[in-house]
Amino acid sequence: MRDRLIERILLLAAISAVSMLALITIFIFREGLPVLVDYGPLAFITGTTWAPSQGEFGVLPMIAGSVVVTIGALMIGLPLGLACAVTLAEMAPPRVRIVLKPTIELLAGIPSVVYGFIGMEVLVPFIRNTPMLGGPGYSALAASIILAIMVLPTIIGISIDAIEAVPRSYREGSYALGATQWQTIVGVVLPAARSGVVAGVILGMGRAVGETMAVIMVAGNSVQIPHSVLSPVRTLTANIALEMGYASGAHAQALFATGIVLFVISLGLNAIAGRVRDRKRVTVAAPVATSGAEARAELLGVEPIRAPELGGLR
Amino acid sequence: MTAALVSAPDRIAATGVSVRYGERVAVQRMDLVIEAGTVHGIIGPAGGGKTSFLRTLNLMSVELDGAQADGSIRVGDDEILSDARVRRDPALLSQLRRRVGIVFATPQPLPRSIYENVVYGPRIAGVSDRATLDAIVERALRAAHMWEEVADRLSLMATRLSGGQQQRLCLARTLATNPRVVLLDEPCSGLDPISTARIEDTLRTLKSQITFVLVTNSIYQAERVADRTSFFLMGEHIETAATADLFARPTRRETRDYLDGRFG
Amino acid sequence: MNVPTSATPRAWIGSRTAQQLARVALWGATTLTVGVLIFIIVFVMQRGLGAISWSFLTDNPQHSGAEGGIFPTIVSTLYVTLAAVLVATPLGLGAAIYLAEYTTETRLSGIIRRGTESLAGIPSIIFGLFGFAFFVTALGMGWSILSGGLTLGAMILPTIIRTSEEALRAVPREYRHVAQSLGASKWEAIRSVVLPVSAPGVMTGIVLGIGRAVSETAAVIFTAGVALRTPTSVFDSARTMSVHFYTLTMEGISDEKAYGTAAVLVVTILLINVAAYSLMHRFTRSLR
Repeated sequence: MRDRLIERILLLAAISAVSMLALITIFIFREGLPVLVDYGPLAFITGTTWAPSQGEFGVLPMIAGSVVVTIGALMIGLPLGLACAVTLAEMAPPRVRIVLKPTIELLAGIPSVVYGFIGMEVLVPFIRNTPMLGGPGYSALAASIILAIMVLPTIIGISIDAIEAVPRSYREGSYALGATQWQTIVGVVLPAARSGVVAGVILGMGRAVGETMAVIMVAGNSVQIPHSVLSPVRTLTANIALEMGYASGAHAQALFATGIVLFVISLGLNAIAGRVRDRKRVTVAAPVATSGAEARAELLGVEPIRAPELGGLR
Repeated sequence: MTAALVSAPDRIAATGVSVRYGERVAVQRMDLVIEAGTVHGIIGPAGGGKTSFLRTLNLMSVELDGAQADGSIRVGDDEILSDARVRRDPALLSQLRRRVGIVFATPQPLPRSIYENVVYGPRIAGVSDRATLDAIVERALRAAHMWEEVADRLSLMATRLSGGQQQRLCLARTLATNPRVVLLDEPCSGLDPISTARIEDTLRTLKSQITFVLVTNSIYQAERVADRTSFFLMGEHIETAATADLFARPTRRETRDYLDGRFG
Repeated sequence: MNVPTSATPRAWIGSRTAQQLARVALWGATTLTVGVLIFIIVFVMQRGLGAISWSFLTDNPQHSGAEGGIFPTIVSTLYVTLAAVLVATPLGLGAAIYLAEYTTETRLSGIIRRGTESLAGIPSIIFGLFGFAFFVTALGMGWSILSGGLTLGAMILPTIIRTSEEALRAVPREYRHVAQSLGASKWEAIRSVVLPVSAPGVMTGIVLGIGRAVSETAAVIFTAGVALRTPTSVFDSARTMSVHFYTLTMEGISDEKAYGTAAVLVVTILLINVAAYSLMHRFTRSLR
């Protein structure tokens, strides 16, 4: 039957993504596992010396670099992003929102190398020449700032969706009890949108960890555990990208091993984001197909609020 | 499929039919015969199983709504429910749907022109000759009493029509597949009186060629057009009789209560 | 937003100040954020637009790009992106159709979904590594448009799947019922009614995928290579605009040309996003 045949073909297409994932896993591990096993995974992850020509493959400095840069990016990006999302979703008049929201999403599409370049030309000299900061300019701070900017559209977009998905009745209940807008936002809307926002943040974290080009251009790339935000750092991603061009043999395999570490971290973050989102997955009646960039945002979880809690406003 | 409407209407015999959705029983075991070439009305309060029964007659309840149905349904000479072959074979299923058409409660025009709506069924059945299709369109729209209204604008988007016109269009496109039975699920609820009258006209005119099964929430409509009428209540087929007899001398107390307006 | 302020007993004064403060802080943060984002675009365009000219777009580069134009990179970007789209669209649309139309929430569909989401979260450098190990080396395709296109195709696959599935689900269920009630089989109903209706939504996903492919650098460098010639076959190595930009800046070849390339990139992304928006807009309008 033609119909059955088509169904089989479609099933094959559906498996393609999973197959690709399996393929990637297999090949990354195939290339990187031998060196990891030989060198010892623990030594690999905790070793502080990265000197491939001498057979030293400790990636701890890079892990530290990635961690510092990502956390820094979130410390900057989360408050700003959330504030933006709240403003646009709750306070801005519709005309403003219709203009600003697509603009922000548009900025998500700018190539990372452009962000990196601007970081190089503007941010790095700024840090270097500012009296209170100083240092070479190429630093974890620069990377964090650039990453925060790059991740902002993601956080803002998903947070706006999460906030807009909170039913009107929650807000109206709060106002009816005499709360101000700010109290409503803090006491009712944000808690309700919590899992959506958290999922967005974790997603942003995943993107920050995975970013390569922009970080290479501003972070300094020296292999050392950063002792301040002004120290140059090298992230896991940068490690791979910088040396892949000329590495061979065990060195190349070590880069794949770095890839394994990165891969595991990314998948882990991804899984956590999915778990957070699924935990309180209440499908709120959202408008049909929102904008194209929002199509990237996942279905959001909304915390159901029981009526008595509405009375507990600060 | 030719342009002219040449079909001998089918007789439907439902024996031991029950329909359930998971645990919930929508239609309890029942028997019913719908005579060929008649308009058969089905009345009863909401939730009585009328729609579930109706949609089982062309297997839509089991194929699309997720219901389980037991028993035997013969359409003409063909068994459709207890014969598993029908449901396994997409070609047989398509044939059944063309033979037993359905008009839904809310008008559902496809997002295309009037012309394209009507020829959808015939095209799927393999008709591609333009002249034949044109003839089918005219015949179907005439049968639905709307040819004069739209003959000069067949390329108009169907969604631009009024509600009543859309519903008549839905009837026309069902008629285009040369059905022997047409199921109608509360087709006139919410329609203007003129459209309602036109649709009822169609039923009267065509019943010699098509068996109509009409679920309606208006007992007056049943009185107007149905030859025989069945009364369903809470999933149970209470009784069936010639319409005049059912209304004048209902044999069951429940029927009498419903007709008297004791419950809606 | 109307805030009820009619009754303001003394106990609420604190909260009203909080409200005002919050307003100021929030708007301040927003202005800062939007300001920074706009600054970036203005910065690039201001310095780059000047370098753009017809010759810039159509000439070949000289001295590794210090002089001349960026024509080969434009062509390369086109080819690699086209390859990616040709790979990802049939697979992605097919997967979306299967997920939206042929499954209920079974274990299999759950696995497929989780797999697709995981694929979406993988960093681009990993794709670069994979593409190098698999396409370039194991399959022997070398640094080529083919390798780059296949790798990018895998990268944008989740985007297309996700957007297409949403578009398909947005089509009202009744259309399928109507089509099948007129004799169409399940697939015929999908092909003749659901797909045409969902087409703009699906296109949006493809356009978004294109946008992602154009701005991608890390995955492309290690799979398509850095050759600065205009490619003539899919097995040729090719340098895309993003890679060219990266090379110009990191090797300090030419600031002016770099800005010019960046401006072209930004304009391209802008056009792509505008296209995506208008498509999505058309789609949601058509469904009403």
